[in-house]
Amino acid sequence: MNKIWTIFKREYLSRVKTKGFLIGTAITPILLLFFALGPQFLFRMKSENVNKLAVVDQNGSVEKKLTESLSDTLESGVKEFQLMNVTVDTSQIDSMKSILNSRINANSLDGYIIIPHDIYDTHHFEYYAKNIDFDLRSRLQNSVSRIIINNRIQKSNLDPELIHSLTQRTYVNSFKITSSGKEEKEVGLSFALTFIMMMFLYMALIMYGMFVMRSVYEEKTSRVVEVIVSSCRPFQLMAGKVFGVGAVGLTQYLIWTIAAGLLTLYSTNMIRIFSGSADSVPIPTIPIAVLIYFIVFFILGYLLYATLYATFGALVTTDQDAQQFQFPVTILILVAFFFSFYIIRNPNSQLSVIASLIPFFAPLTMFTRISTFMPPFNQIILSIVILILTIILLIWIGGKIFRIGILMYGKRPTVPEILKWIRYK
Amino acid sequence: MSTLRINHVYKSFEDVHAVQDLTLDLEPGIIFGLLGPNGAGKTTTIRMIMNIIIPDKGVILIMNKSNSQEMRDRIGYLPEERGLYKKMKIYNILSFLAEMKGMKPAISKDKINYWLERFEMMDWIDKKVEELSRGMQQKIQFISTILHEPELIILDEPFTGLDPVNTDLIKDVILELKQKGATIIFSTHLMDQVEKLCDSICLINEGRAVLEGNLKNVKKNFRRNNIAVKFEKVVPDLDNIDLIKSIEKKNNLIEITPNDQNNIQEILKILVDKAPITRFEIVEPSLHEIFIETVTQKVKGGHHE
Repeated sequence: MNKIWTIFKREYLSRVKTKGFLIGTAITPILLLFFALGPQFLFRMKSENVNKLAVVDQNGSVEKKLTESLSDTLESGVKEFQLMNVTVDTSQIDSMKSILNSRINANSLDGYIIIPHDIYDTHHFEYYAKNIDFDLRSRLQNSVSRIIINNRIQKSNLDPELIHSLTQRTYVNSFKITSSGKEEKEVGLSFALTFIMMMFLYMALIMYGMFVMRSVYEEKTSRVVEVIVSSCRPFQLMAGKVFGVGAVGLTQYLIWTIAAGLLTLYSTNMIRIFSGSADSVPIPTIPIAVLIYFIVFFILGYLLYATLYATFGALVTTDQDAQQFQFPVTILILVAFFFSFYIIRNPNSQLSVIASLIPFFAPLTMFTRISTFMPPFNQIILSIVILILTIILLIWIGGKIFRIGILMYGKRPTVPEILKWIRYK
Repeated sequence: MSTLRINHVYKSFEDVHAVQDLTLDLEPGIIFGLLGPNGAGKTTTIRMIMNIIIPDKGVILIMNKSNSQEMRDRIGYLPEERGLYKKMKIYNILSFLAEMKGMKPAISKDKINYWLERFEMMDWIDKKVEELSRGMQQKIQFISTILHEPELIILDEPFTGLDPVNTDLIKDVILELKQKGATIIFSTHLMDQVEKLCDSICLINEGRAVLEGNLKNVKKNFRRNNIAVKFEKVVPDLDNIDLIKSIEKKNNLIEITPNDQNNIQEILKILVDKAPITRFEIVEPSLHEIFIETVTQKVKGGHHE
């Protein structure tokens, strides 16, 4: 036990004290935020460019109203859209197009649209530009579409206002019933929360699992291992490493949780300051039971996969092997991860129940079920018991493989050889 | 009481018999040479002593106790394949390895300082292992082997990669540790080191002990002496003399291996007739020769079976 502690201490300190740990701890949440919010943020960022568009309105009923509709101004006060009306005979449309094309290539024009004279029958118009801006395209489509509809309504001698009020869309407001019987306004945030926690579990299993694996095979390839196993049992080395890296993971997650807590508190205050009340934006809270299960499945999942990774790490003899040996373990986590996406939508289907009882998937799948729709308690307990029994079995088998593998150099062991090691007393 | 007793130990891997019926008995306070060609079973034997691998058959007793965790802490082991944690600082790694042998950091501190001072490595105490030269890493590894004051020290090729100054330094330390009562097992190919340091040896070949005992007795029992001759002026032609097996020039001496030990006097007579001789002596075989002869004989014998 003392030796496990000594190995644990070294493993933990030699990782936590590095610059890599500090940088990793700081950068990971930033990267996550960037990937989660970045694209949306960039997408919503308004362009500050003036759009010079030529409108070839062969029908004649659209151009004027389109100019009225596209009247946005930029922050600088300049109009965003500068529309230029072009009239041309149908017979000369092609020569006009080539004139406009050359103006686009000379950058004096951003694009042009052609409204055909029979647009009321064909339901299509054309948009030409060097860069088809997705945003602008849908903006043009919406505007022209609305103009055409309004023109049709007017032609039919109906009141557009009346039509719009009659065809007003209806929206749904959803509420989630919590276990305490309260109703909570659901704005998709608790779904996002499940997703984030699932993501964190998935990341932790892969990341720290691979840390353990690398730690084991680096020890082996640098030949430190012979000195270490002459001072302790190989099993103690394996346990010390698994616990040591696990503690690093817990430390990192603890830092992130505290940071996230502070950030939530801070952002709630910010919302309060800006909107005058915090009630309008409900901050989703994680039920304490879910949080406890998160920790339970984090630890059990980590133990299961760290043992697997450590065992495979002991078989590695070269860096190329490492790639091959981590693959089968990583694929298990990936499958579990994909199952979880299915489970978020179908938390109680038969497939979900089965998937949450398979020990290799349970850390992710059972937790996803718990966090989406609390399953029956006996299923949770069954899943945890199966998981613990599997971990014990894996530690037992892994310990045997580890003991021999850790001192094997040169030739890569074959599967029958490994099976022989397991039967070895 | 013997420090180490290996009693009819066997170990096989797949179809290779790594160690067969090996029996050793080490008295306390001696330096013991474990010799043998590559793949003879030395490392397997050492690993069994270290309890890293378990014998198929037979018993290993250390200080009259069966091998256990507790016994392990009383052994110091320098493996042939050296390795240290590259990113760790010298002080930290020595303290860690001592703690792995059950020595509390508070106690190991003075010892670390003492040995670093002794090996003139004090300036490097806060440097990382990877910043050290290979020879320096070797010294650090040696310190880690003896730091916890083991009663049994196992050194697998301790001098490889060391310059003469450091070789002598480590040799001095080994003799000093012997004086203090430690038992030291040496595994090496360098026979002149063995001759200078070892009290007893065991030569292993193909997993079996083929020659063992007190170094002096081993030499005496080898019953094959050579003749060293110094001629006054010219060395005469010594080829085609039936009684001579081989001739080797050593400095200004000619060393002659006779075909038969009984013919030594006969050879002398022949030599005297050929040219004036200023020196003639019968020399004991070097351990190097004993090693080569024994190993090749056994290999030949093996083929005849």
